[in-house]
Amino acid sequence: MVGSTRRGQRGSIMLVTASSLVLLIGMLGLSADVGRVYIAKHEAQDFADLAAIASCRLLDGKQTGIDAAKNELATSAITNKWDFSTQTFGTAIRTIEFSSTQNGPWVTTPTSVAGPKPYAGVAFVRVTVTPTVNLAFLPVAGTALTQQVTGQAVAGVTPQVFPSGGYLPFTPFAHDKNDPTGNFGFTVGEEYGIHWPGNINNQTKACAGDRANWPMYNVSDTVNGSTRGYFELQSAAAIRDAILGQAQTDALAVGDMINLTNGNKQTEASALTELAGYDTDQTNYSPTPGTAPAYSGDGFRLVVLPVNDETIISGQVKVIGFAAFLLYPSYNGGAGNSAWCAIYMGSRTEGGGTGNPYTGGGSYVVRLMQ
Amino acid sequence: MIEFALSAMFLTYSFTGVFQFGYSMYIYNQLQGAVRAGTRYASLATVAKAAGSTNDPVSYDNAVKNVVVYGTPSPSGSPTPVIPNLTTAMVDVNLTFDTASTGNPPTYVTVKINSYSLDAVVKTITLTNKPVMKMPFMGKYCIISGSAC
Repeated sequence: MVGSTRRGQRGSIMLVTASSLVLLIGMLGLSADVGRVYIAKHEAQDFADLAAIASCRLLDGKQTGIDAAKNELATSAITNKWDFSTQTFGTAIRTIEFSSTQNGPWVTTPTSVAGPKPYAGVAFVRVTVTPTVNLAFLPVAGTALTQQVTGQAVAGVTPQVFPSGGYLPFTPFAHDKNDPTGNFGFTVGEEYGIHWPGNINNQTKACAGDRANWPMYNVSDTVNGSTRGYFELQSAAAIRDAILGQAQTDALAVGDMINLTNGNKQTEASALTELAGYDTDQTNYSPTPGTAPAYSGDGFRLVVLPVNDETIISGQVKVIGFAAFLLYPSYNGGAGNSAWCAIYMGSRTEGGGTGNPYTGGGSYVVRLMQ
Repeated sequence: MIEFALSAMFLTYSFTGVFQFGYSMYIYNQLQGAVRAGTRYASLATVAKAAGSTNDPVSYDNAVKNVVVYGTPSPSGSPTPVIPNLTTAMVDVNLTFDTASTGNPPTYVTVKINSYSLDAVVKTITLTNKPVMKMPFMGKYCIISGSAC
């Protein structure tokens, strides 16, 4: 009697343990398998984000840009892996698609149009990776043997939105049009002339950053008239409107040719001063090469200018990029012999590839959309 | 009692296993996130280098390492790492330079954890050269001339 009871108790403990085996293995499965799936998901998403940005910045409207984007995806897959950095995102589990809008439709091979930029509208890239994780424990609880995870990201080249929009009718000459940094040979924090008198025969009339690069003015001296720096617009009223309303109506793109114009107009100096006066930050920063001013205003003084290639052909120069300049709080244009300076704040094709800017119009930035 | 001891042993192993796996996964996931944050920062940070140099600027490397370990490029005081026992010495930052172009601009940046001991009480796992991420360098760089950039 006593013995049989003991036997029963013995059996019940083993029975409970045995029956909870499924639960225990399920728990192991949860911690190990679900953990691995989540890590794979994390790695896949990180890869997609990274590859989308990396390939999107190479789009240039041509077949070369599409090919470069595809190559960049393959390059990204060499180092960036999944499953604890051991498995490659191979060609079978990665796709790159293109579109002209953020929301698709997505195609692996975009349709070309006639012209020098057959893929001009293609500005968005979607990268999808779908690694499959092998499960070790969860199948005991009745799940499938594998679990597929997806990482997907969309990156796009979108118009840069400037605080006040548009650009001013001045075009600085690049100091080095082949500058690999994309800074046009300018140094952040240094001041450069956005408008300058002709016949400068001593460098003291130039802005600090231009003194070291004197030959630039010799190039610009081939423009007729007494002062330089404007483009396209001729009448004082039109230039003034363009400055104050930032209403430059020409849609400018990298590669466009612009006409240089001339003239020294007092009203333009006061227009610049008036524009700068709107800003909440009125500090008169000193140019410090290498250090951008600690500007904290609301954007009225931060203006965008098209930079040209310093090669004048029939009075025209080519736009090679866009740059942000910080205006001083006041300008006096009274003396026709003084240059108007502004502090260089950086190129405005942020995140763009070197030498392959996307050409659609205006200035652009590469962004992660999703 | 013997049966209970046997079962208890089995149960203890199982629970320890669950903890071990779960904690390891959790930390690895955190590391992946930290490396990602560091890589994103590194790809957009400014590189100030000497002309022709193909060495990473020390200040740049340190800033990236701080982002990985502390989540901010310039932590103040004695900061607490985001992940237990992670130090900046465990993070490798490596820029790839384009030696064919003038000024040798940076092209890619690789961020990785060179060695991290994942201490999950029962067993210590050492992660070597993982997680790792490599991304194109898309920030600005400048050549140092004299004391300024």
